[in-house]
Amino acid sequence: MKDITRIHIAKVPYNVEVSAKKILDAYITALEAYAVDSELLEDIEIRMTELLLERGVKQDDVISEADVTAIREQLGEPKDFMTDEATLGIDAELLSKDKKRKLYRNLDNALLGGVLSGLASFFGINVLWARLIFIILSFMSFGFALPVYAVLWLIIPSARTAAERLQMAGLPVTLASIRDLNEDGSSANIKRRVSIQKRVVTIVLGLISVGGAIAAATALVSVVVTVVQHGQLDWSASFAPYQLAIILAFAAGVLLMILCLLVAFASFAQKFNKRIWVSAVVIVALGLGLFGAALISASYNQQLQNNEIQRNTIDMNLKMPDSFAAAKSLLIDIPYGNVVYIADDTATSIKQRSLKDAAKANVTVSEGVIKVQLAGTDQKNSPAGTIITLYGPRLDSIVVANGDASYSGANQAKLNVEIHNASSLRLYSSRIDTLTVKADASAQLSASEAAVAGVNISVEGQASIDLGNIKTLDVTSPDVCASDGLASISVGNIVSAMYVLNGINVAIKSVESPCLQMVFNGDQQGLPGYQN
Amino acid sequence: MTNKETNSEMYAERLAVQLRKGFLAFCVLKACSKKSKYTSDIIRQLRSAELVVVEGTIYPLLSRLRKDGLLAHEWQESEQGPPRKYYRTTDYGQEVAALVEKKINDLQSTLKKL
Repeated sequence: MKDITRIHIAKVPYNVEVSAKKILDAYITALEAYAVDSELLEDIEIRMTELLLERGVKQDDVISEADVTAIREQLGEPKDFMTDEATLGIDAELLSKDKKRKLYRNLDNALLGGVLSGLASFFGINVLWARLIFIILSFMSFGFALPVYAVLWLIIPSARTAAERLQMAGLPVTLASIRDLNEDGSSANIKRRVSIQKRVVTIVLGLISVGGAIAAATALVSVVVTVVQHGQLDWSASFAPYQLAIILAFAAGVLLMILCLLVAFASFAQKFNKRIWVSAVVIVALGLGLFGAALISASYNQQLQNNEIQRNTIDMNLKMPDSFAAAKSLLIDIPYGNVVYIADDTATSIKQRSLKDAAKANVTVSEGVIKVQLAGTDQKNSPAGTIITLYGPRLDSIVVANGDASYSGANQAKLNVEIHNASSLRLYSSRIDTLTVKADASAQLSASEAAVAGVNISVEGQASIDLGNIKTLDVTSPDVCASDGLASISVGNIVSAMYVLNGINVAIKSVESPCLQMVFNGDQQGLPGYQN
Repeated sequence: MTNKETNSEMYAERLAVQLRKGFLAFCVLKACSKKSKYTSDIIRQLRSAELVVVEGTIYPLLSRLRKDGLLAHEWQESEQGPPRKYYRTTDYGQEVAALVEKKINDLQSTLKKL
């Protein structure tokens, strides 16, 4: 028993076995793929009715499987109908309605080897995403994704034939689909061939722009973090005057990131159309405008602030304590600001330059010691510093407990210097025969601008001492110290080939000491007395 | 060895297909030059002249030649079934056929000289 259904061929009605109809359907569908016009198909159908008639199958008779096979033999296989023996490379086995996707490299849409576009086809996603994911993976895996790409390039076959291309896209491999593919596939091949240099440019451009986008995003995030940390987002303290500039620069940064993303998108989607060009130009113009505005705003505010400071800065004379001219020592203990001491035997004066509302320095003399003190707390971030200038007698000893100080204008045999904490002392325009230094913590002494002959140093902590060209050097440094406490002494030139370290004569070449870093900058070999 | 033989056969067949393509069109023009012919008559005539063809190759060829104006067709009633399309070579087709014939002769003389 066989099911029968009705069809008509060339307007002639027939009964047909269902199984025969299936074969006939497939055959006609295959022919349709090559029927350039419907007329040809009509002719073939008419011919079929004749062939049926020859076999004794008339109108309304039943067409059997055997009849269909005979027709097929008489008319020929579908591939006989191919007018142009286009090298389609159709494998008979591939001609199936199997929709299973297969992984191939897609050379039609490739930037490099077609691995990513093939994978995108396999997973049914836009190739743009595949490329972006790959780039991000490359950055995250520190480039490990690149050899993986190379391996995939080697092991995945490329889709060369029409059938393979269809399988890659998960389309059924039929004559019709192959013909469709070949019709619009040939132009794609031409496009691909001319664009090799373009593809290289695209890859480079894409990579640069993705890197740029990541860098821009990182910079933006770090700006936000900095602002939050310093300003607690209430725009207080030092950010306040630059609020507008920061916002404008931030917006420019966001635009830069968008531009990078746009270029990356255009590269990896291989879409450089007018709209993208226009948007890129608009973004660049807008970004430059914003950045320029930010610069103008920042410099304007800077100017404004400087003017403000200048307007508010005043000079004043401080009260001269008794017996100031007879003092021999100086003790500086100020939480902020600068003390400038100029040795002057002829005139004495004490002046302070600071903002109107700043605290006044307190200068006292007791038992020959000048004491400079300042009330208040650390104001290092304040844009306007306080400067206290003293003209006074030559000093035998200077102690800087806190603050920054300088001493100049002296011509003397001996000077004792003690610097503590984070304070600093600068000696300049002076001639000192013997300089004795005691430094600890993170104190700094700079004597390279003064003419100093002999130097005795006792150094601890992370103190650093900078000397110019000297004659003799005697250093005392502890044998044990904290691991992060390495003091440093830098010498321009030393006349003798030896110096004293912890009471022992050592050659300047051997500068090892556990808690001290000695640096001799000059070319010691050129000096007299140098011995190898 | 067998492999090579099959390959040579296949290769020869491929070349022959190329040769036959133009030749077949010429033969069809020749066959239809004297009087209008029905497709199966054309095939029968070609087969009797020992040119192996299936109908599948003839149909698209007829369609193409007709479109290019080398063949004209007319409908004729048939005793059984629907009316049939009869093909006849046009003057233009005759001209083309004559030129092709000359070219084929040229090829043949080349073949002889080789």
